[in-house]
Amino acid sequence: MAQGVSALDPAVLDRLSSLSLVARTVVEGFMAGQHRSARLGSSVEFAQHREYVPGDDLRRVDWKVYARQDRLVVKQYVEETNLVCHLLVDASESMDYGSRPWTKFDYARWAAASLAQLVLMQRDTAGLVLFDEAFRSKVRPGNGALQRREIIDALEKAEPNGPTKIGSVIEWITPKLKQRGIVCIFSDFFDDLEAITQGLRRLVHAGHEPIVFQVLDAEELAFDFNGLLRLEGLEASGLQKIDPRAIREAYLEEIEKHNRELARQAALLRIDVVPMSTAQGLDAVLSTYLAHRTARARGGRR
Amino acid sequence: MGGWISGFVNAGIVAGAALAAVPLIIHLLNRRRHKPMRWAAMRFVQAAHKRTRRRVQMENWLLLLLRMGAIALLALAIARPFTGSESPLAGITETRRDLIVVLDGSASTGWREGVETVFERGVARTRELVRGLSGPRGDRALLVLAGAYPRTSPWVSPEQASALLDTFQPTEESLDLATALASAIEAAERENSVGARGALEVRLLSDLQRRSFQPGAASTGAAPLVEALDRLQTLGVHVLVEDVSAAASQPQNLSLVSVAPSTRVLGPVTPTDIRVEVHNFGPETKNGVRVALEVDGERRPAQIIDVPARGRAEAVFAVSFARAGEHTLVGRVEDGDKLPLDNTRASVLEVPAPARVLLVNGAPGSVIEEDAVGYLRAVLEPQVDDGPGVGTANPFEPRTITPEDLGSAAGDPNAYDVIWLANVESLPAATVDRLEAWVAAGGALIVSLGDRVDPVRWNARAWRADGTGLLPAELGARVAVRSRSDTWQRVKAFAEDHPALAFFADERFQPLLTEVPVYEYYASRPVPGAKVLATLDDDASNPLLVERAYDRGHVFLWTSTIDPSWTRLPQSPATLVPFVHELLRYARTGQDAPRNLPIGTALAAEVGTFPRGIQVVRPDGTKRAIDGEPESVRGNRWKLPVVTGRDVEASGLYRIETEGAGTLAFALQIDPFEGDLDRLSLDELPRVHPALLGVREAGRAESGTGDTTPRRGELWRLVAALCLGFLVLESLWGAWIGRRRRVRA
Repeated sequence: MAQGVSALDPAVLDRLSSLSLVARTVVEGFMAGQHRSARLGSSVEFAQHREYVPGDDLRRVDWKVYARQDRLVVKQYVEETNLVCHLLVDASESMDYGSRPWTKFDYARWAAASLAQLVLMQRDTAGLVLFDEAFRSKVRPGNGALQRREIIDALEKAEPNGPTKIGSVIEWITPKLKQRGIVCIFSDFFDDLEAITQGLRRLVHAGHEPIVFQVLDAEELAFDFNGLLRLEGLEASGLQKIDPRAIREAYLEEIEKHNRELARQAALLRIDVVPMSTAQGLDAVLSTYLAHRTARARGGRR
Repeated sequence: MGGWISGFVNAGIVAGAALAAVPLIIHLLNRRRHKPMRWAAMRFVQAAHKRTRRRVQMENWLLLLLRMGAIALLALAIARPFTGSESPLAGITETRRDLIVVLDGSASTGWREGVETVFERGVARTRELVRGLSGPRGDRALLVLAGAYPRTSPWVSPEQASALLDTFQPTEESLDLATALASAIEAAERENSVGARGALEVRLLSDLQRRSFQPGAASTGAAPLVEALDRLQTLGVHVLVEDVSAAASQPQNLSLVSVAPSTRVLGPVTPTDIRVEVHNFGPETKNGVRVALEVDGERRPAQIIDVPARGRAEAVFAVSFARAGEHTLVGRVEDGDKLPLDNTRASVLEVPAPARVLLVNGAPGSVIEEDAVGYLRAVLEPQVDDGPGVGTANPFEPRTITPEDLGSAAGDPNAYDVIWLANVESLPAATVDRLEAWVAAGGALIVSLGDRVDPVRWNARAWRADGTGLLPAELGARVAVRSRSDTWQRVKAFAEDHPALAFFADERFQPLLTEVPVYEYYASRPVPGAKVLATLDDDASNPLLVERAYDRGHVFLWTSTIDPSWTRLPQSPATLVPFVHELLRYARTGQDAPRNLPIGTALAAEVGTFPRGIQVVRPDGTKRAIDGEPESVRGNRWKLPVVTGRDVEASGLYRIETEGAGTLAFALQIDPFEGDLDRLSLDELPRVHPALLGVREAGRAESGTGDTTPRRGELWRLVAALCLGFLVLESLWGAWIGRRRRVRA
């Protein structure tokens, strides 16, 4: 994806007033940018026509329509399997940080809304759970335009606050997820790794396919500050006066160690980890991951 | 610190070391200026902080210490610390010398030995000493050209000192060694050069003229010299004295010590003896010495005199001045010796014009005995006869008027030098005002009393309790003896040193004043500041003669009569003549500035008309316009701008020329004893003061004990190097920390 300002740049998304509009913009954007249509499944049947956009596979152009109506449309297919996608979004206070005009939580709900849009567009089922240290609210899995509206409304109304306990929340919520499916967890995962791993393990054992979307602010990854700072920890994690240049190296080591361990534990459970920086274009992140996932599915691997 | 560092050359800058606190203050202030920020990934920050806290603190403190150390060391380096020889740091100091050379530039150093004078030898020796200093090492020199006052240079490098020496000229003054040493000490203390034993090297290059060192012989007393040497000794500094003269201990030298009239000059025409006095300061008699005199530039025939060893002789020239006023005299010893400066001496002589005396007769009489000014007029207007006074001018020009005429044109006070009010009843207020103005401008008023006097009215108009009136005393009751045949009053005491009465100080003439009967007088009470010149032997010791200065003039009160009615004094010519003459001569003297002055004295004078184009003509004939404007003073007189500084540094005749106010002559004279070249030996120096050490060769004491080449160890280069090291370390350390903390690619 281009690094310049595009229609899907987070700064642009931030200015869009409706989360629904954001979700559509993201999904249409990244779908338009793919050479192959992004799909969660591999077994397809015709679903609908849509306008041809440059980059679409010419083999999918419906020439009959073209002959009759003199316009280029491509055929779209949907998965035959009935996919259930559970969207778990961390709404704790730590997600309320943002070095840019949008926070990690903003970014997370854009991503969740986009995935919901995508799933629902494929006529699959999507549900939403918002949590912090405990379950906060949910939208039961469903499909259709109304479901999309409910999910987006729930995401729009959510305000990040309270402490995080991802591991225990996942453990608690796992038995509540009646339909097995994909569980997309959007969080910064600033929590005890052992608990997180335990929760993920429970999800896997319950037959779900968790996908970890780790949303981090760009400054949390770079820690590129000058001047002395008095950091006021979110989630009541205390105060700390620091010289950022003095501890930067150690900080980066610490956060990288955490992320590395998270990725390692996830890999052991065959769980995908999708790092997301709030500075990245959302469509690029999602499409890259989906393309990667599609390719992996075609390669016979999960 | 005392044992390690003895002091600082620039002590004031040591306080600059406090600036070392600046980095600490900045550090502390910065610690208070943490920008608040909300942060989510706190667990990683805390972990990182915990991991790095001790190391970062150490890094920061080390950086801070390096910065503080660099600043402190820089301040110390500029302050230039030095140590004494006892300091443990002595081994690592560098030796630096501060040399003060006091060069005797007095007139006596003009003594010529062979091709060069003593002064030239002193300059050469100073140059040699300066050459021994090292500029790159930081050695410094302070040169003091010592005459009547010190010409002190600032602390300079050896090269600058050498250049300064080229400008040195001998003075024609006497050596004031105490002031020169005090000046050197002050200069050294200003620079804080003194402070450690042996920190300062003071050398005196002199001809060792004895009078400059010994109590009572020098122009200044011994006390200041001892005081200055005591100060040096307290500071642990010796004065290394070098004799730059190769002359004998008592060189042969003739000195013309005086050119002056042998008696008072009474006036023009009257023959006057001008005495030219020559002193032989040498051990051998000088026979056939030719002495000449120039009067107003005209040379008189020389006289030959013999001058005994360590004695005096004089040549007397009979001179008759044709006119009153200033006359210049220049005496010369024409047999040249090795010190030519004291062979010539100039003098200015004021030949007085006849004193214009106005006698105000308050009680005229038909016969001299009954006239209030009869006897007075008689002694002022001597009859012409065949006596020894034939051909001489009358020194007084008396005129007699009545009190009523005092307010008329005939009685205009400005036409007279002295006014004598004799037995005047009282004066109108307007006349008193006129007289006050006239006296204040320099006139002399003499008031003698008598039976016509109304003391109440006199007191009312001419006396004021605060002393601002004319009368020098408040008049009291009239006092008379009961019987003139068996009682009278006499003068009990008088001011023998007063010029007006000095004649009677001689025991032979004293009775002429003290034995004269006084039968009547007025009791009086002198005003503050008045001076009683003679008192009577009555019970109250009433004054007989009182004087007071009244601005520029004088007022005298004779409390009896000046006619024979109350006292027998007028009937004693042997008393009346010297009394009146001396009193009038003194009274008319006024307060004119002296014209014969020691060399270096500022020339000051007043003139009666506004002067324009004022310029001074120096003894060598060069002229220079005088800076400044004339200043108006009381009595319609003008005070000339003072001539001073380098314009009065040569001996001889000076003239101040003006347009409109004529020419004024001055004579600046060297100290008559400057020609006494009797010299101290080096061995005698410690007896003068232990701080004086005689030296014949550089660095080796000839008298006294101890190392005479003081050294002072300076540490500034070492400290500066340390400072540099700190700065380098700070830079390296800062760069290393910066690199460590730099944003990772």
